[in-house]
Amino acid sequence: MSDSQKHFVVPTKYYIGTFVALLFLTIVTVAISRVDLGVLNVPVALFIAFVKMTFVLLFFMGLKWDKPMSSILMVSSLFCIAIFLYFTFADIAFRGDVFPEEEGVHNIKSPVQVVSPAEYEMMFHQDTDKKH
Amino acid sequence: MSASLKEFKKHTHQHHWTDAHQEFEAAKIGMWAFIAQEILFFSGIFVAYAIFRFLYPDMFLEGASHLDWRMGFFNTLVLITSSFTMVMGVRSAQTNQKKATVNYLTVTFVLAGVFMVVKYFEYMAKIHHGLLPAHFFTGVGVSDKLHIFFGIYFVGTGLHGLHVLIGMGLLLWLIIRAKRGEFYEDYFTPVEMVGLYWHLVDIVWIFLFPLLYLI
Amino acid sequence: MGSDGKHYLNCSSGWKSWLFTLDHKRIGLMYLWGVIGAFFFGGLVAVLMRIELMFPHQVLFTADQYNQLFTLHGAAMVFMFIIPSIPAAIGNFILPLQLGAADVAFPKLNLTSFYFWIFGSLFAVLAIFLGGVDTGWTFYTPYSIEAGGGALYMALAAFILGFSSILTGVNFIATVHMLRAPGMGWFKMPLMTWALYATAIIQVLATPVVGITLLLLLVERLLGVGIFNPALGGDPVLFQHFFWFYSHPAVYIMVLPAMGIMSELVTTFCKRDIFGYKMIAYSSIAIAVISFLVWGHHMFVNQSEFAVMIFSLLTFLVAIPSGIKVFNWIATMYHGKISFQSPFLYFLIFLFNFSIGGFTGVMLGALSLDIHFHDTYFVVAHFHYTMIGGTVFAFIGGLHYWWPKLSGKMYNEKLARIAAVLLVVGFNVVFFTQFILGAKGMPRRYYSYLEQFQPLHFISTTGTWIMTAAFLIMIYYFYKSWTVGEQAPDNPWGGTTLEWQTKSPPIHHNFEKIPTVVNGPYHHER
Repeated sequence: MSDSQKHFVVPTKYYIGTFVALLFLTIVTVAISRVDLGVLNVPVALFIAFVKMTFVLLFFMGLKWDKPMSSILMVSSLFCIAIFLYFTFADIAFRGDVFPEEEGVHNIKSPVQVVSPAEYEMMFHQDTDKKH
Repeated sequence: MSASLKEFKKHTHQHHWTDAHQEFEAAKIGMWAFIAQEILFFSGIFVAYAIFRFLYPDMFLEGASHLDWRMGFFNTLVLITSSFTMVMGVRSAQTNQKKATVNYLTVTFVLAGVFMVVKYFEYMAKIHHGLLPAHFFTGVGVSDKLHIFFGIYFVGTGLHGLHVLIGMGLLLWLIIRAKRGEFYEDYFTPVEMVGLYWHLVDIVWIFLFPLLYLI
Repeated sequence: MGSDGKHYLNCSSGWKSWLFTLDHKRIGLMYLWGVIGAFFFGGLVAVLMRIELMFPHQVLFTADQYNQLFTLHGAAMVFMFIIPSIPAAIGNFILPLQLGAADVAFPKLNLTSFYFWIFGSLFAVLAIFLGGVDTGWTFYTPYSIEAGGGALYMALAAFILGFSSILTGVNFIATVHMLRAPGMGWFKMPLMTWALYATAIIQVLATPVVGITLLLLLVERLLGVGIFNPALGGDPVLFQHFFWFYSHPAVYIMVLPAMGIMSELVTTFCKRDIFGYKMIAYSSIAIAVISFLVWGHHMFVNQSEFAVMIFSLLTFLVAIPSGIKVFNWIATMYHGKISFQSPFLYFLIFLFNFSIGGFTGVMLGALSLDIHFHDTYFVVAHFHYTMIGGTVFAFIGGLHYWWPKLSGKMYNEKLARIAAVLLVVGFNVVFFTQFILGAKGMPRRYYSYLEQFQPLHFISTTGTWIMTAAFLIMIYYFYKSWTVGEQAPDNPWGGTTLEWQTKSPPIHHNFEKIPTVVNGPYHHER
């Protein structure tokens, strides 16, 4: 029985390198979010998150050295999420195109105590270090 | 690293495997299948987030303004570090370093605890302002749909926090077994498996953090 | 049996040796009794429903009770019976044997998934007593958020049962990758294992989405989050997207293993190699992939015009791989030495009835037709033709086929043929009339209806009694077989896959010596 078959030991440099990269990218994410890029803020943040996830998957979780099936399972799950998002959006985003009265939400029983923007500013003025 | 393996418990593989290596490879594939399903489990929350953010962008900005990005940032650093210590723990088991294994796993456990403590303080602040999921929502807002943001926030971070707690339980189990000398170069499967689980928990947070706190 | 007469059924005894077993064959057998119990439970509810529907006025139940009945029928049949039926009950038993393995990859996980099944089923039964559920098995919001009674427990039951399914999927993926016998490359595996593998992929990728959906529903009920509840600004159609993202692939979890059984039956009973092995294998994977792209066809009337066009086109696409399989099976029969033994009768029944089900599915996929058919008995008939006409008949066929292997006994062939004929006649009486009812406009889930529909409803109900008679005959001869049946040979049908190269019933670790595979799986002597 080949119980003594040695598993591949990953050199520490990969782990340390990934750790540093993740820390760096986290700082980048926060820094970029302070800058107003308009509609690009969301895609940029998501892109950086994807890069971080790739580092974790490849090096911390070992997909770089693993059998291909593991990567296929991972990519399939991401593909499923993409499908889920895309087709659900195909519905939600295009409502009201043919029948305008189908658009919008009316008369909800909201638990929120609604205030005007001016009152809101007054109550939470200490939070205005947020760019938006 | 050729330490004598006397301090370790010898592992025998189950009867239906030809050798321990095959058993280990199978465990990895099984674990990746499980991770794929966990990803899809969390996906529902991200899809709900995406839909409602698309429909009510201003409401989301308002909701995010109530979250303290500094606490989120700190927690992200904590979790990333814990991922690093976790993978170093796996490596230590793989290279027969019993003490290092125990130490790395313990640090991972402690960091997870720190994460939960910070979460606790964050939640307390929300409760104080009445910013709870709908029924209990008594807060103030400009948008009359603000409770939806907090519903998604609490379900997302709550489910993630639950997975952190489960991870802490698994880490404790590993620490006890590692102390008993059960993990060495020919058998460190449980450490590897919990490691994969832990990295998944990290990945979910990598997405939750910017989506909830930063944008 | 083994040289000392010991096999997996008698190698150890006592309830503990069953409840704590790690033997995939015993676990499969326990699942088998469980899902058969669930089937008869759901079936009994259906018989009661159909009695109520014989006349437009009240027969046995009030309208509220009727709503609870159809909810229970759907939930029990979908979650407790049909999803685990072939993979967990037959698959658990047969997969390692067909691969030439001693067990599945993770035996303890296997036992765990069985216990999840038990636990989830108990919760479902509990839901009946804690107020009942009348939301329909689909739990559509907002009613499922406000509905009183046991909806919470039913949703929780489905969540737990989903876990059972996921763990089975994880197990099968690892088993197929890692435990094939020496010499068995991917394209020497039986097509049953290809089918179980594709099913496992769907189980792993799709089921968690219904998990999160049910969790969000529970949170919505308990805390009122507001994402599905229109009164709080949410979107009820979003719930439907979430729900059907799983539930459509789920129907392929139901039908793919059934198609796997078909490939086994046609090769053995026509004594021929399968026509188009690779096409059938690839089509299983293709069905698994495309199944994720079509869920919107359950909600054609609720979506944007843009979305429904995409979903309709993709729905037409998903029928193609199924069609490829049907043509390949028919081609396999050509010039074969056909023997009409009972398992093969079920193959023929499947071919006929599933094709009707599949074809009417394509009809429903056409937008202009669906506007009229949506939420009518046409839809009900369609899915019963695929689920009963497809999965249940395949399940029964597989049960007959592998019965000698799992029990070591033969059953009464004559009674089996009678039961098969009664079953197919009864089934078509029940459901073909429902196509007509639906086309004439009879809505589904309705307790009462217009007088003009009464004759067809009456006829439909009589069919359920014919089906019941068939099942009673079946129970009888299987019981006799188990207790006093004639000893089965190791290979009663002349099958060529690996399970027939070992004893009936198999010994505890399946094979005295793990075989080495040289030929393809359906290497019949010409």
